[in-house]
Amino acid sequence: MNEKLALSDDILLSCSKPERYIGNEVNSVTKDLKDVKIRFAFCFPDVYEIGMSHLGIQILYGMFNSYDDVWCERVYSPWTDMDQVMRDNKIPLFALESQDPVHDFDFLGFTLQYELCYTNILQVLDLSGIPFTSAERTDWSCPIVIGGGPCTYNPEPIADFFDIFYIGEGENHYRTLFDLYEQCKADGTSRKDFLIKAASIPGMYIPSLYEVKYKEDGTIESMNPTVEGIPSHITKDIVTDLDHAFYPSKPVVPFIKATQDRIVLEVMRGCIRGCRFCQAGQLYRPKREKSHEVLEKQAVELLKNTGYEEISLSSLSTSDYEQLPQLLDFLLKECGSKHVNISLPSLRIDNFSLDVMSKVQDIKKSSLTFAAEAGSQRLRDVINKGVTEEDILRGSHEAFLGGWNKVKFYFMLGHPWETDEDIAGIGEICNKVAAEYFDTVPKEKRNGQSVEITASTSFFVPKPFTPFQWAPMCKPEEFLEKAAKTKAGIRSQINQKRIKYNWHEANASMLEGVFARGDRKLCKAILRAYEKGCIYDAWGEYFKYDVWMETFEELGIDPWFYVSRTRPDDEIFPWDILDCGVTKSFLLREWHTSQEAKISKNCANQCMGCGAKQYGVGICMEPKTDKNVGYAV
Amino acid sequence: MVKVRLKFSKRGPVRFIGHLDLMRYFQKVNRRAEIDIKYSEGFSPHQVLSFAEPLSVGATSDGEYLDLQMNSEPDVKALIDQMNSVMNEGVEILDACILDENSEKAMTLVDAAEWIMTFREGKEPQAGWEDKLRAYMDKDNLPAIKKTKRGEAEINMKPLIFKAEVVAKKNLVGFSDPEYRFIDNNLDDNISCIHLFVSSGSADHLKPGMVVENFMRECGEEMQPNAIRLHRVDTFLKGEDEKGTYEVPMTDTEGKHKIYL
Repeated sequence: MNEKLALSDDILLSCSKPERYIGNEVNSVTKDLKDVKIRFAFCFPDVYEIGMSHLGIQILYGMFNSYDDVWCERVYSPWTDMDQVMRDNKIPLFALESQDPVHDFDFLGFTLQYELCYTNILQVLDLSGIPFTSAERTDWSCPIVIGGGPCTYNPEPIADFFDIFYIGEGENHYRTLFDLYEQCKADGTSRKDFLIKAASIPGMYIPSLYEVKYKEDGTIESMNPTVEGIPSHITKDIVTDLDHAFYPSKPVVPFIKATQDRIVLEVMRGCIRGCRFCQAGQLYRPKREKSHEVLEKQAVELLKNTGYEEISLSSLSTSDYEQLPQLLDFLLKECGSKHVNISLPSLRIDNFSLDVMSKVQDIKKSSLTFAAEAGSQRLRDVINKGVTEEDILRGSHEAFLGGWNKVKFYFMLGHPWETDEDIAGIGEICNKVAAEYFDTVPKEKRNGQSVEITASTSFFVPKPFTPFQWAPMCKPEEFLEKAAKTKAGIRSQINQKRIKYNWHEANASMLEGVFARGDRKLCKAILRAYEKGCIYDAWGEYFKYDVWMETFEELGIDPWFYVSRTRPDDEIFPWDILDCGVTKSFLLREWHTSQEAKISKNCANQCMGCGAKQYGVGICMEPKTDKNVGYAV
Repeated sequence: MVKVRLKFSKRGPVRFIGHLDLMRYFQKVNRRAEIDIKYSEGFSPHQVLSFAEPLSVGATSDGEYLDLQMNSEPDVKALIDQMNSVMNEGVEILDACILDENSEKAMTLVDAAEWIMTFREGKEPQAGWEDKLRAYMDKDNLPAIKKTKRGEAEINMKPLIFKAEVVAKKNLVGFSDPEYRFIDNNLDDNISCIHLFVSSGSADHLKPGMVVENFMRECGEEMQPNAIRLHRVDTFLKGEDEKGTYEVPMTDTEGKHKIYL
């Protein structure tokens, strides 16, 4: 037992949830410092309960700690009460396992899952006593700051704060990086020279080694290496054989309830659907599956080692996992006898999934989910969301027959070329599903209940490496106007009393939009906003829109330049220096096809030539079929 | 269905785990240990667990109790080993016993508790407080205000204090178990310990901290927040035999550590 605690009893007894800061969780790893050459602090820059729910950290934490010479520990953003206490008492930020200051580690790794965590990165650096920018970190006196995860596919708005971005799946090249680090430390290589050498490892983007030149209109002229011999582009690297890739059999189990308080079993990576708004659908290509035999073995081990009472299947579209029937058969038997629940993230609604859902869920309590994303067929074709009205009505019909009466719809507002008719379609489809219920379930079988429909809309934020990376994003007032129209559309329906409508806040989406397609000029705005007190921007109660707008104005930055422009076809983007495996020419082709409201086929039916075939694995190598693989929800 | 009572310790950093989270922790332990735990009937079956007396966050203990229900009668020693093999450091099963089918829940049986209190550094009363506290606890009437659900009531703490001493840590010997020593590596061997054996449970419950709080008030000193470090030695239920009424640790079915009052 590590009895040491970085915080005094007095502090722990007066803060909210002291369990966030004491480590010692089941399966957390402690090592003897004598045996360790590299200390890695792995940070999710948000509160503990969110960070502990993240699968990626659990994978890399397990993998790093499987190396004898590496000790990986965890770090999360101290919650706002603790943040204040640490500043007031000058307590340096510490890692949970050893409770030692992060400042003394060899690496500080951040997983970058969403743009609104950027000020929390600065919080972590600040509380650790690590200089904010890579330029200030000239010697070995503080850790190498490295970032990974989806936001590294446009890391430019935070480029100044990082020494390295790891582009691609973490399983592949960390060992090479660690070996280089150990060698450089041993032979007295400077920090700068270490970074130059690291630039030649696949997937390593060292932003300080590339110079950005801008045109007069503020767009990018060029991005070039400033050091000879390093790559001009950084290519994503992926795991080619998921069955044999590292997967943690002993994930850390928190004492307090995390947001995802369950076993996460990753069944595949990548997605065959090319929804044009979706970044994950492009970044993780090609689709690669794990075999059900491997998954079954992993599930048994995970249940035994964690004691969780729930297991969740994880992927971008679980219905596309081809061995799903076999896997679920096994899990139903295994889990049923152990009183373990199975949670199935949104599946395609058909007879198979309804049958499975009725076995694992309480029908009375659970609801059907349709991620329709757009209200009209025309707009669903624009965004290449294959689901049709017929699919939705047939799925609802089957579900109502099966006893369900709650339906959830997810839509996005602000897709390119959205019209008022498309928005009106949201109310119409909700109304039709309500009518389907009344037609399907006769009055005497309703048991005093009725259909309950919930429609939620979020605001569309264009993301890099998607066909919509050229598209303009709506301004907050346009979004709110669209939400008002949606509401009016729903309220004009006959069955409007059975439909509940929720919508998101628009200002935070706007800031997300700025960062998503921003450039390096934004680094100073993020730093300045942090200095003015912005932190936890993803949390509505702490998000300070006015401070952000004031900061942009103060620094002469026009935020609308990043969100409101329709980008010309030949514009050089800040993220063009990265290669995610999908080519820009494919994305441009898709952007043009979307304007004609034409759909593109999924990877199982036809190869659209996106470029991911270069990896030579997964769905790209399988024969194409005419099989109707339905739609993704 | 077989009822089993476990005795466990809670030490080190896990002292900050709250009562509900500790309950969730034990549910996972039971699944990891693959013990033949009984689940409740109904659509969402759950394990039926209950603690004897919740320990406040930050306190350590060598005598916490948990009742659970199993489908079959376990070998007690094997059960303890099985659970300890998947236990987090800081929580350890110390003892267990099989209960009579009709026995009441631990929670309703708690009658007394043995405590050790020390002051956190910088939060002690003025030097020489030990003698003053001894003299205070010798008095016949120790009035205190107790907060109840219905408001405030004035009580006399004296009859609720069964045994009391102020003693250096190295000289402390358990009241009910003479083999018991207070082990805490973070504390100096000479630190003064307030060692109490007090009434506990739902009726006539005395929070040990109340004694210190009222003592300090009488000395004209204000007690600082989190001044006391609290450690529970054991929790007891009441019994009676030919020699009179006694208190006994809750899994001590042989009565090895009976204490007559």
